[in-house]
Amino acid sequence: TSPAEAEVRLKAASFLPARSVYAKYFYRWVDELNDRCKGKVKITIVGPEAISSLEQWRTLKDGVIDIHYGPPNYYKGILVEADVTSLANTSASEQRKNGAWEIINTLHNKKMNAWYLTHIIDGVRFFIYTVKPQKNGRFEGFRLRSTPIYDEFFKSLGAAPVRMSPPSLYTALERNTVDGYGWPLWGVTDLGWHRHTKYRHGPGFFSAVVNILVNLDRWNTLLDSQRQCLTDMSIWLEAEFPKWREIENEKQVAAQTSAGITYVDMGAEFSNLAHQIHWNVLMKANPVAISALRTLLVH
Amino acid sequence: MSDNSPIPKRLKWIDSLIDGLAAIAGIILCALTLLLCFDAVGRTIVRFAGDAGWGYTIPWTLDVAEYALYLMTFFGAPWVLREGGHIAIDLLVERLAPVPRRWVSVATDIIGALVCAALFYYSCQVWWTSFDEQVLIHETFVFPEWTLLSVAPATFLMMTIIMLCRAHRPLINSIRNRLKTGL
Amino acid sequence: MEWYYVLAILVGTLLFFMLLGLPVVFAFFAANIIGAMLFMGGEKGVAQLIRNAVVATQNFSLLPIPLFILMGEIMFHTGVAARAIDAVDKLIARVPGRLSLVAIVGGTLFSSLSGSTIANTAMLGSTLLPEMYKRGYKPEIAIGPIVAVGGIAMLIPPSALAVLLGSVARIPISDLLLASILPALILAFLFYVYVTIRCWLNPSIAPSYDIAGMTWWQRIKPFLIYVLPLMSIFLVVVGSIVAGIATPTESAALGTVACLIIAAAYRSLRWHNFITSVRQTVRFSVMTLFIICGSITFSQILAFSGASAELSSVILNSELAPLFILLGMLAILMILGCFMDQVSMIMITMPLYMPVIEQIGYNVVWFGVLTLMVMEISLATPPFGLLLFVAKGAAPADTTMRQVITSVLPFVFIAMLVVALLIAIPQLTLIVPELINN
Ligand code: NA
Ligand code: NA
Repeated sequence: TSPAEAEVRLKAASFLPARSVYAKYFYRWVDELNDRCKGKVKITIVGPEAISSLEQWRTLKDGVIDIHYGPPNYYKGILVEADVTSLANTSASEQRKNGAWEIINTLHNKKMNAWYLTHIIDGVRFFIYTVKPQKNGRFEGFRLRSTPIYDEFFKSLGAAPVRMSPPSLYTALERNTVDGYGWPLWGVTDLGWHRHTKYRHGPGFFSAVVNILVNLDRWNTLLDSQRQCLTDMSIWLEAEFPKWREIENEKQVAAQTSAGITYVDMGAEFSNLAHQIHWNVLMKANPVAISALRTLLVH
Repeated sequence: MSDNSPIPKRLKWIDSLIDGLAAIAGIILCALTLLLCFDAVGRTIVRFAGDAGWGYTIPWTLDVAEYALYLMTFFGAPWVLREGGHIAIDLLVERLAPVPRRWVSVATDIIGALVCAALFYYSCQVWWTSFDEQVLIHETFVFPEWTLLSVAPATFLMMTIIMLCRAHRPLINSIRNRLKTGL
Repeated sequence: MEWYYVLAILVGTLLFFMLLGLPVVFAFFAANIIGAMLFMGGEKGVAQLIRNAVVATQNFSLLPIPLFILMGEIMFHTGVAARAIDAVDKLIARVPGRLSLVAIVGGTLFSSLSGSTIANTAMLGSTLLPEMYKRGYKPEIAIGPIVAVGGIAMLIPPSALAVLLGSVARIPISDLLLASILPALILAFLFYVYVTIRCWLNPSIAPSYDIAGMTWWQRIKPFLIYVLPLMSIFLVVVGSIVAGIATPTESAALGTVACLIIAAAYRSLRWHNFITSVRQTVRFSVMTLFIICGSITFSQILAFSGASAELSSVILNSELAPLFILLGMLAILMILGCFMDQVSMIMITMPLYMPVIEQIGYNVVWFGVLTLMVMEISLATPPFGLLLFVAKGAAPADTTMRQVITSVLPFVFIAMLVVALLIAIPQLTLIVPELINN
């Protein structure tokens, strides 16, 4: 084979190691891709032990790595609009068809020097997990582990948001340093947090979206056949992931229930409030793109 | 503060600057201790008497404590270098005869200066990239990333100067001695 | 490039610069610059190195380090620790090797107040060594116990090194702090037995002398006044962790304030000794934390190039018995400890060791305690033993390094025995955290 037709080796960084439930479907996809794109593309993955999770977007932008699998709110410091898909109720494949993908890709091209392949883990909702019961729909005096995207929401419920890395959260729960945490549906029992968790408050808000990005310079040097294979595999993933998600959702809910975690329904206003607060923040940042995206992402 | 500072007398202001930054590092250490303690006590009160409305928790403790640890390290590092406090393994060098030992130590000081200079150069580059792209830090407080990044170039520049002065002193002395002995 | 070349280049340049006498932190930076240029895409890799250095210390789990060191420095410089040693001195009766036993008991006590081995050894050396020499103690029985017990400060909480190890190797820090207590007490007990036997067999090395006739109450009173209240500091630190009130960081903050309150209550807290404590703390914690800034990229480059994963799979596929792998790891640590400081040892080995340990399925807390024990030993192994230098600095000027080293060797062997004991009976480390967690 001539060098032009040779298999291109791409180095990917995953924000979590393979054993994490949030990374395992990315690893599964890469396995499938290496198989189906044999002779065109071969991807190898390194985890956060090679590049710390919060630094991976930067190494993608600089071209130290070729592919990055990570949540958009990790790089909202440079692309504040990136986590808008977490507010969507449309699927990734609908977004590809209705033009939302196009807008999001352009944003990534410009500010992140990245090509936006697709996202997964969409539709896996966040909940508020607590040790003690809430009172009248309020979390007055609760110290909740939070991230910037739901700080304002937690405050509006009367809670004090605190910042903490996931590894120290276990100790913090054990020592009552925090009374609860915001976290998506998956992973609570894998991380052992169920031992210090009693309630899950919903309906779920946001989506635990994780993006798959390619360094733009690298993307531009790929052959058409290689780009096509990556795109085809993204479309394949968009079709497959919802099936994987439903199975995993059921598994996770069952594990939480058997660990003694009770679901508390706070009414539709709960998640609507969370979304409204975040829409307002995003609208302030980029009214043009966000208002265009809002009509495409939300039915 | 230091009698055996490698920095020449006419650059005394650099010495003072290094001392000043070290003093800030000390103040940061004290403030950090108080902050963590205040938070731990306040939270314990909340836990046992929270229903009575007592106690107070500071939501930004963790963020600020982490920044403080970083700032203390980078503000203190040049001073520790000047005081010879950065640990080195000199057991091989110590076994050398005085003259080769002096030259090895000049060589390591020059290597150290080169390393620091490279770190200074690249930290300026990193700083400029972040400034140019207007990257924000989205934690409890939202602020430009370059503010945190601007400490690093200053630290590495100061360390380059200290390393150069350390290499320079024995070099000058040696040349003087050779001139004296007519060599 | 094959992974073993990567490993050889990175570790080789690091060791070359270290042995040349370049400060350890710059040796790491130098190896990283070369490593980033070669394996992380050139200049953009070096830029990433800078970012790593900046974010390295913005890590909550490292916060106890300066605070634990500060506790020891406050106790040392305010003279509170020296008075406590004095009280222990009055308590111990007229036995052979009395002052050496005072060093061991007092040093173990002080270990529960100080997170810094250096403060511990310096304090014991400056308070007890002059008295020992005045009383005609031979160096072999004077210096040895002080160096040996100085290292116990890193085993009994508070311990800055245990925090660093837990954070780098991802071992639960509270468990690690609690698990080291019992092995440390066993170690102190064996030191005590050794000194007693040695002085009993050969009384001339530690001549006994008359102590002023004191009543029972005169002997016990200083202990009640100057030692017992200090135990409240240990209670604050360990108790707040055990009771589940505080994280290790918060317990460190509470412990520091407890130290300040106690020093003030003894009317020993002066502006100048407070400033000295803060200055020494900044010096040692900046030294430690700055090495982390320099070394964090080192393990990342190893992981990025795939060298860490390849090395651990080679070891795991070698069909060596897990016990041999463990002994090999500890032996390498011991050898590194002969010419390296504890922080560098942790930073070099843990990224390579931990994947293997986890794969074998060994208990990580137990492995952490073994690592701490080996590092405690290496504080006293020549030629590079930090505490040897500290002890020599505190000893009279005519003390030679050879005298210091020979006096320490028996204690090193005792510590190795304890390591063997812990390998044979892991329960000795695990029982305390298990009791508390249930
Ligand atoms: Na200690
Ligand atoms: Na040693």
